[in-house]
Amino acid sequence: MTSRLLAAALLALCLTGCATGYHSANNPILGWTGGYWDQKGPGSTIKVGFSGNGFIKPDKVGIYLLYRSAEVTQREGGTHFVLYQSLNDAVADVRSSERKVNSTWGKPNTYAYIWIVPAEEREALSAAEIIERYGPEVKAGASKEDKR
Amino acid sequence: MTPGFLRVIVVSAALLAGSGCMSVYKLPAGAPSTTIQLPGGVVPWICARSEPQRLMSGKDGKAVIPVGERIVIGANLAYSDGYMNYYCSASASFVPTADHDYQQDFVTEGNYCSSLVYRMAPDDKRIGLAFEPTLNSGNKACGFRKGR
Repeated sequence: MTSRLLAAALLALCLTGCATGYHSANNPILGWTGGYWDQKGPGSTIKVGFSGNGFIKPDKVGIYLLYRSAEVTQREGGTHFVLYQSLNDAVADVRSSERKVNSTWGKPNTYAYIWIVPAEEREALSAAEIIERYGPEVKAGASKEDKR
Repeated sequence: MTPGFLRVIVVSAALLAGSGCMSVYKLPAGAPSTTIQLPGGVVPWICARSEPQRLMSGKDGKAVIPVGERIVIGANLAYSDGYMNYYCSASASFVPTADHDYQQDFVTEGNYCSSLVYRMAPDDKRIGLAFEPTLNSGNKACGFRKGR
């Protein structure tokens, strides 16, 4: 009985008092705090997003988004991608190397459009390099919900 | 009550708040028309010589709109985190033509939201969209209100 209460209290603490970790927004338990998601389109682009709760810092959400973009690129069989900060930028073909994140109503949520391209494409980002650079930081967020 | 069930209730209440008391838009019989792809998670609306009316989409996410006259396409976003209620509305006006289909984009950035309309460009394999040359401000409210 005591262990059940402790487990429930721990779960409640993680859901309400911890920063969003690196996991899918569809995660049946941790997805309540947010996480990453993606959807295909328009055209050949993929919209990748990360929703954080009020305990995660915006710059970390930016890193998670970049990392997830690299993962999605590799999942789709690509090696490089072009990042667009908005649909408007995508239509105008204005490319970026990062996504600036603002909090919306106290929660840092962000998204970007990615376009998977060959390595020689202008301003292409290497998925492998991003995963290598940010892997340790992201995996730390994936293995435990880091308390603020 | 599970977190998932609670989330469904909160989202339903927010959507209801976002739709207000708008009537549903119906294209006049026999009027020329085209389609617009609507964003998810918001309450889209239209002013076509009328007060704002709810714009309903089919299973494909597309709605039918009139052509040949300037219309206002907007969307309302209502969100509740259980403690605070948030609301944002944005719109844009343009003159649809029967030769093109359209896509509405609704984004929140920081504590602001915006809505834009793009013209579908099937020949563009990268993004499949183009800027709409007749796009203009929606002025938040419709320009066809009584007394204006």
